[in-house]
Amino acid sequence: MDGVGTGQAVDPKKTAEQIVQFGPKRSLCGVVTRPAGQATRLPVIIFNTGIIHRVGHHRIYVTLSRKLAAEGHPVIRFDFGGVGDSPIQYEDMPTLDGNLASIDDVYSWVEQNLGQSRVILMGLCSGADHSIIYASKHKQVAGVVLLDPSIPRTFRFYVNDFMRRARRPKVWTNLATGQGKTWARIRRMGVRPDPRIEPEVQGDEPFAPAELESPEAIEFLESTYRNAIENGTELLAVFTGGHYYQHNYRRQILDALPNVDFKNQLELHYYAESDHTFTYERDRERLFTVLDNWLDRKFASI
Amino acid sequence: MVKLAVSLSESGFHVLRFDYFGTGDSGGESTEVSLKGCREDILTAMEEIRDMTEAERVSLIGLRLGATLAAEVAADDPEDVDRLVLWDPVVSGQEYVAALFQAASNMPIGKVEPPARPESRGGGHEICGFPLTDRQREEISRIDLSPLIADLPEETVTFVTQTMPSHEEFRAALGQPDRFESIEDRAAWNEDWPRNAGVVPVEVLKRIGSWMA
Repeated sequence: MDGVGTGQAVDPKKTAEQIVQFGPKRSLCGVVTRPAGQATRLPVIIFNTGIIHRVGHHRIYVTLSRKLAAEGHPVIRFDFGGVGDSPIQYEDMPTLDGNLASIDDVYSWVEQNLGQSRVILMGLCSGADHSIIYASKHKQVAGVVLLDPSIPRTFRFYVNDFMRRARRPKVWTNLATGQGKTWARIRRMGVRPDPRIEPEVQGDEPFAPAELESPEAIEFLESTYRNAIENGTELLAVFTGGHYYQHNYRRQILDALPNVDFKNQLELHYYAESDHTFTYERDRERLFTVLDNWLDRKFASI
Repeated sequence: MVKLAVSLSESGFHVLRFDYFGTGDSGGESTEVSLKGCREDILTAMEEIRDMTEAERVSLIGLRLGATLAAEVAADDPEDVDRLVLWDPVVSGQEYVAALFQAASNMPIGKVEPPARPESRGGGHEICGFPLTDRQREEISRIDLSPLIADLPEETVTFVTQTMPSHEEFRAALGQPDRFESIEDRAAWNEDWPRNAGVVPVEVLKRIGSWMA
């Protein structure tokens, strides 16, 4: 396959797009991008990220869908319930369960309308987490593309993080002058918090990253990845420097989940210079090239 | 915009929302977007909703650059537009371009100048993840909403949540205080980083709903 990683626009004649409403309520909204001719490669399903709808940050999923479709993949991008154009689908279920049920709905559509039983899933952040969890439960997932999936921090992570902070001159200036968050925390020690004031207002960290280091969380993630590997799913994982508070080196997932034998089914990349949403064109192009090569190696045909 | 559309439709309005060519789910590339093309897209959308609903007159609601484009279309043919809602409109193109560059220089990724784009791909700069070609920059820089005031439909209102200096000038130029309201609310276009959260600007939506009703 060539062309997916290049910055050239896709010839619109090579693809066709259609709005589809999936699910029992016919209200799970998505766009299917198909090759103009016969599909020659596996379908790719792209999950939206957090509150960002199916178009993706900087329109990344529109661009990618058209590029992949031009190379023979049917591609579906859709909004989970409560995001973008999709109303909440399963009101009685917790969000994760409802979203997994929505993936079932999209998968059923793929089977019935595209005649394909094997699919590739792709997502960024929460979309990546949905991808791997679904793959752990469904053997028909041939591959997953995980962009900044959630993984626990490790000893090496903390060492790297300390070194990163230590290289910032402001840290030393603050230390010397009694300013900054660390001194503020020390000053607050022993002071009883005022229950009438929100913690954020009291000066706590404005954002708390996910706590995935508990034995329960690690066990869940290990079991999830192990099951996906046992199901035969191929994994492409790309981590960025944008989630510096969660991961900061390429092999962190291997250290964080030591009881998972990834065999030769995991391809790992770390883009230190890229932010979490691949804001710059050069980072998106690099991602597209890696994806292109991985698809070629693992899924050259249906 | 989804919430606003649903709310207006519950109040009895037919609502059509769309992506301009080269944006969102619509065909085309971001580098192909032109203001003239966007105005034509608005006219196509107006024709479409008239066909679908047999309505004769259409109201336009636009946010930021969309508000400015809606105003330009309405000013061209005020008889065709029933009511016009300008939500945080771009009044001065130069001010808007400067704000875009400032935002692009202060991203969570770091305080760096927006990268220049190669000429072979349309040139210009990358602004917050989107290309802004030199042609687009020039076109946007020429925007000046104030001279259009006299041509806008009688039923026009401006709601502003993020006041820029040009909004104050626009308010003064409008003359009628009831045609301009400042509303304390969040910017509809911001995503909270790194929480990946956004806040629906409820107050603006409510106010648009009540004004339209």
